[in-house]
Amino acid sequence: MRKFTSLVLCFLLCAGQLWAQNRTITGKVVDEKGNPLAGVTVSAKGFSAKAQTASNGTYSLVVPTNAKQIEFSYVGYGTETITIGSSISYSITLTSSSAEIGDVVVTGYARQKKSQYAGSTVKVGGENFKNVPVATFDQMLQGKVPGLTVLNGSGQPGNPASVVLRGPTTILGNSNNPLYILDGVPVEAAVFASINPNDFESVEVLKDGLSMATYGNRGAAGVIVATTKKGTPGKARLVLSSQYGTKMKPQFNYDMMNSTELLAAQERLGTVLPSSAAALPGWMYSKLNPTYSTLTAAQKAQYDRNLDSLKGINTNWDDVYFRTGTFQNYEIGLSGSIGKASVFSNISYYTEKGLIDRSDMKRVTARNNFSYADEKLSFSVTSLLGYTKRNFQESTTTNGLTNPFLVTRITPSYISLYKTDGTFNTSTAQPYYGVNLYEAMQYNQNYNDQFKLTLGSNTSYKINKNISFGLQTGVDFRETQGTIYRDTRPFLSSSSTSALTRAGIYQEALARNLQISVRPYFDFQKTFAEKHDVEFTANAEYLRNFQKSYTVTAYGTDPKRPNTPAATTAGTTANALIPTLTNAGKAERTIESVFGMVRYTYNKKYTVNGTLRYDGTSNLPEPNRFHAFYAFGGVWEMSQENFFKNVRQISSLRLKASYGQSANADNFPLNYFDYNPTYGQGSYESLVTTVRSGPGNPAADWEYTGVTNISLEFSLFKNRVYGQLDWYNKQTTNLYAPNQLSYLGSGLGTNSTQPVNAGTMRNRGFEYIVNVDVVKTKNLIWTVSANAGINRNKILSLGTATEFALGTGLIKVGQDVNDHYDIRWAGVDAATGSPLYYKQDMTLTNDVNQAFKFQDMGSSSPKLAGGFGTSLRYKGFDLSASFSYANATYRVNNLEFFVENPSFLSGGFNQARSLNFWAKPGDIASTQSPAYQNSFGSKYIQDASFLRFRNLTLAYTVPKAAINKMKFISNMRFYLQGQNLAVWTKWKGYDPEDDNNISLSEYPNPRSITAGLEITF
Amino acid sequence: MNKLNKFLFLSFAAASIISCKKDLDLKPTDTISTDNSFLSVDDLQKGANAIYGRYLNRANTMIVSSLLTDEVKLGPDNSGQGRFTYTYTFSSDPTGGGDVNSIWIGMPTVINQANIVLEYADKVPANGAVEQARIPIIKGQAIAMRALAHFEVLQGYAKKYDAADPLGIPYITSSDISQKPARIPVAQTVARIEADLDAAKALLPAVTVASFSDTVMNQVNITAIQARVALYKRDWQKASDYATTVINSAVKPLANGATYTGIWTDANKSEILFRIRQDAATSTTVGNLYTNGNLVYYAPSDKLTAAYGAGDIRKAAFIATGTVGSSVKTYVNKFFTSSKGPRVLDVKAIRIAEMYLIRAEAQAELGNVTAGTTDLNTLRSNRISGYTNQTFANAADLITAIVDERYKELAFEGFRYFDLKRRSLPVTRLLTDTDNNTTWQILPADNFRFTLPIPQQELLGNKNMVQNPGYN
Repeated sequence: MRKFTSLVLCFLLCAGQLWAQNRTITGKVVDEKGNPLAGVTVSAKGFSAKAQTASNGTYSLVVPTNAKQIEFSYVGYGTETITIGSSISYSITLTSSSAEIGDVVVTGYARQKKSQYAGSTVKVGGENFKNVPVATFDQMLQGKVPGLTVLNGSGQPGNPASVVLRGPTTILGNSNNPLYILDGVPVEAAVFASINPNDFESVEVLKDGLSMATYGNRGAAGVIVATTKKGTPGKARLVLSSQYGTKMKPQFNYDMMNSTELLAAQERLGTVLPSSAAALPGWMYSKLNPTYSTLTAAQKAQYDRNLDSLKGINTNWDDVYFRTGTFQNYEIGLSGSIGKASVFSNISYYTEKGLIDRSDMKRVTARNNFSYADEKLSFSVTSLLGYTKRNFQESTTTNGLTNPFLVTRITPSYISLYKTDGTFNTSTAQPYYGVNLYEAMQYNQNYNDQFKLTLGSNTSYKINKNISFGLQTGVDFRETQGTIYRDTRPFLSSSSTSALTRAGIYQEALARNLQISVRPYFDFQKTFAEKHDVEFTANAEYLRNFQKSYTVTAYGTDPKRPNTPAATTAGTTANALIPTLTNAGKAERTIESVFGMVRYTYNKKYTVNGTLRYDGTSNLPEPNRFHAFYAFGGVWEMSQENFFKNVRQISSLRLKASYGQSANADNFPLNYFDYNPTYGQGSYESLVTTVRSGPGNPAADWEYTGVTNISLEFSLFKNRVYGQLDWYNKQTTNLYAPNQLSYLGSGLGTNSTQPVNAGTMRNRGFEYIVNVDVVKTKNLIWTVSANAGINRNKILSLGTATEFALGTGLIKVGQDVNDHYDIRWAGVDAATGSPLYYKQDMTLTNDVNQAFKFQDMGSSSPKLAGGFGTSLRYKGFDLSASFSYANATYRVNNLEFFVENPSFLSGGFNQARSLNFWAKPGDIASTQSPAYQNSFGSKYIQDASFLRFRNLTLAYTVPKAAINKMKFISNMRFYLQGQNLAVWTKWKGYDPEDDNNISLSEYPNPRSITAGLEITF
Repeated sequence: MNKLNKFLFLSFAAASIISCKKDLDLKPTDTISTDNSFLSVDDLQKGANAIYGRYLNRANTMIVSSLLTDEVKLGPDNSGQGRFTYTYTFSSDPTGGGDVNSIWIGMPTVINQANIVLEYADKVPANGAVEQARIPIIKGQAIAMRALAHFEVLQGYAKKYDAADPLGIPYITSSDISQKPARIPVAQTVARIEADLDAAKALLPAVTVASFSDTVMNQVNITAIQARVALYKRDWQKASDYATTVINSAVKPLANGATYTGIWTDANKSEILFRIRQDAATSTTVGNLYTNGNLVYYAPSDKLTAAYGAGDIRKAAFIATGTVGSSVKTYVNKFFTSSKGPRVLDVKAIRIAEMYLIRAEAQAELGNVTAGTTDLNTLRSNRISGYTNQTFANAADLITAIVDERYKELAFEGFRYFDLKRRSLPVTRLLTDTDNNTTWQILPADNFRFTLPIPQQELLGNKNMVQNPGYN
């Protein structure tokens, strides 16, 4: 039967050809760099004649004589149509169009044509990750994807960014991390230091309900799918690259006092409130101090000398602590194909020294991707081995006196680092923290070693042209071993009140994380009657997570054998140096799923997508363990409609709408087993007790997030202007909130609350992304792009729970989840110097206890975030610049509370030049009289909006002509790059950028300038 | 056909993974799940241990009673602690009522733990006769502790005993954390407490002087609680009878001299019928109740200091003046110095002295002035050196003397507020104890503040709860 059909078909085709006159057209297709393109489809427009280019880019096409146009099409390069005349040879250069690069959506489970997928996705190309002098790729997503708020809260080398897609989907959950998929393998969120971003081909951000529902109970916070490079077609190429640069401290907007200024400020404090300045040298030795007049002439001279000598000491604590960091990266990689197999291998060595001592990172990664494909079978293995060592300060995230970024601000410059004998000028006196910490830094250690392994495989077999099945597997393993060593020698140890600290501490902390996944799948795709294109995928997935962690702390270290577990003292009852095992625990989770995705496309114009997923998870109680998630959506390819075909300005226009539901298993407010009411072991003096340790919640269910998304994708003026508009409404129901229980009934004591599914929260927003190829000629390409997202978060309901405090905030219906909740500053009373605050009725009070807490002072999450950039390519030169910004974000400036504060002045700490406190009636001051306490409030809630010049790259590719003279080199590229070059902000202090509501002198993002060289053999 | 086989094999593999439901039924490894919590009599005992441990919350009753009455004044280091309570401006709101909420919040943890133990007591298997015998003992102790904890809540949050008063407190006999109990009449609450105490005694073995333990519930100290409850209920005959039973058991006779003062430094355990152990160096809840480290938050009132006559050994045992930290301060010495370690002091929850005072009051109420006077004199002669027995003209005089004696004997032990309430007496402070402020010098008898407010959070979390009159 089949043979007969073929025969008939063949006959018909032959017959067609019999009636037409044919001629043969030949030529060559190359890309913009002149490299031949293989596999380009060449067809005669309006006729069935088709051919493909060979590996050298040449083609030969037999066309009817009445054919007027031939069409070249290639995935990632779009379609180019040329009109043919009498010539028989037509060669063409295809330019890759960014609009068309996004032609295929990688959802992690499948690849879909963007024109046939109703979801809203944004692809970030590998060039955005390449050679950026930052260790983790998530940071590089800032300003690239509208709706994706990426905030880098720390400049500590290797720290992850905070990534939130379209606003939070949980209040009590520990994070809003999206789900990360690397080459089909789910990988741990926020642990990226051991992954080399240079290996990335692209990153796809899935923002809509259809995509999220495909991931069922893990998709609600959005999905970020990263794909690493595969072997390039053709002969193997070896790429060597090296990069070197420096890291510098960013600008600070607080101008600190020098010694003379600080001593003068202390004197001024003494004239206002002598009691609080009694111990300060600026007042103690002051001529205005009443005791001065009682002194003998000799004593007076001594006091003057004391003051002068202090003025003469001007220690610049920034110079003591900060250094110029360095950055180096070296890679050697091989990419190529042999027959049907291709390989991509890359080894990298990355080293970064941060802005201060003991903040650095070293990384070695090995990437090996292998793939094989023939007509029936395709097989690929991706693997990553990464090892990272990172050094840390004691603290760079809290207002502690072991945080160098705080200590440099508040240590007075009249304190010297060394005594005259050359030893450290340590002291228990309050302002000496700068010295004490610096000394401790010379001896103590805080570092961790991280080992990461990510393995994936994907095998698929085509039974026929319609049906294929396959198996995908993945392993993500990470082990981090943290070490803390505290020497006995530093003053901070030897002067400690804790006998254990005096004895020295050695601590090892282990955290292990393993996730395995297995997914068999089945795919069916067929086009019926040319117009009905149907695709159906059935999947089953098994996921298992294992976690284990513990910390062992031993005491009694030996300065002669520092930083080794061997040199700790055996604990005895007598020496009380008994080692402890803390933070110990293990947990596991299983997710089992079956799911299917279906697509139907009619005549390339209308597409309907549907997803149904059924998940079973171990971390919910049995009645709620299984849940079905669904999604549906449609695409209308408007430009395919006849009435648009004549609108020449519009190259493509499509409208998409989708709705889908998902949950947030990975950011779930309850730990893996917390739904169980649990018991723990306690003690009543020497007796062991068994007591209820957690209330559990036998009715626990997921927090469900439903997303409605409408997008318009457009491409105008022959793809010169292209972009996407999105509107979404994301509603999370079943939101966890603490439900107050009866104290009497529950017997849970002070914390008689139970987290229950209660509330509803909404995020609604609008996003756009536009790219314009302003100039596009053979030698010059100039592109400008911009994107932004607006998000409004609102708590719609808290159900049975009532408004509740969370941190310093108040979770209340009608408010943004991150709205500030604080008292309102009304200035300083010029007559008395007392601070003024507003009461609820907006009258003033000087009593902070009567001040009303308002909740209308803005939110710490940006309402508007985005980025823009431009790139210019002229012959061998490439210049690109990118900017990112966040607007309408308000944070508490804790540093200002410290450096413009008379009570800190009286504590002996350094202050900012801007300190202006009330001293006498009539003073118009920004800070109250030292007689009054300083309180947090709206005064310190400041606009943290920023515009950041993220990246500037200038590259030069040596022309082919020059390269060809060197036989063994095929390509050579130099580049200069500046990262984080400038920040424009109203924010004072370190860095406006962070994901939390208060700045605690965290490690600022450094500026860096690097240069690199890349040679391809 | 080969392809079909492969396809079938894969489908089967998929199906088998999905059918692996067992993997979804994971058990926690780091906590004890409910069905693994109480599996043996030993587990049950561990549960029972916690009931006693949680009765450390008795400290709340002690401090609240002191703050609301004439036992203390705000100390030199007070920076706001207990001020709302002391100045009678407390409310149901936690920001203005932390202290007065504490009994309501703390005692249910005892009740809940007792109920958990009772729910498992009949489920755990007993190995052999020895374990078989332990179960009723554990049950008896749990039931008694449940009753005691309820009684403390009742005393605080219901008015003085009135059989017709509908606003008693709920009686909780289930460990279900989601229950929203409603108030029951006072008479019913008392009846439930009495029934539990009787039931507990029935489950427990007889006690001899040798077998008596002051750290667990037993027939003797349960009888002491019964005496306390009967006194509250104004059931004078029963109060007297129960007190007599306890006194006659002779497990803990009255102490005097250095032995008595030694009770307050934990040098000995004389007179103590029931205590909560505090042995570890960090077990300083009681030791840091009135003073915290070197900070004297609450000092003994001038009124109490003046109440002790010459030769009264209690004055020095309870009140001292000395260097605390860097300056000389007067402080509550009853819970200050310890022979076990700095501020490590047991909670003395029931003492034999109270039984003498209960019997004296009950006998006076019954009209037996002589019998009542004898008990009062017996107690005083153990406290005051050179004491000569006194006589009283009538029952009313005797009762006034007994109330005053309770003030002096049981000071800071969590009785004064409840005694004044029970007897419809006002709190009358000296002006020197109130910084000359008359606003909080007197709390009139039967004022609504003699009943504590139900915490606001309780009303939020329990729609069946009703607030006490006078509070919102």
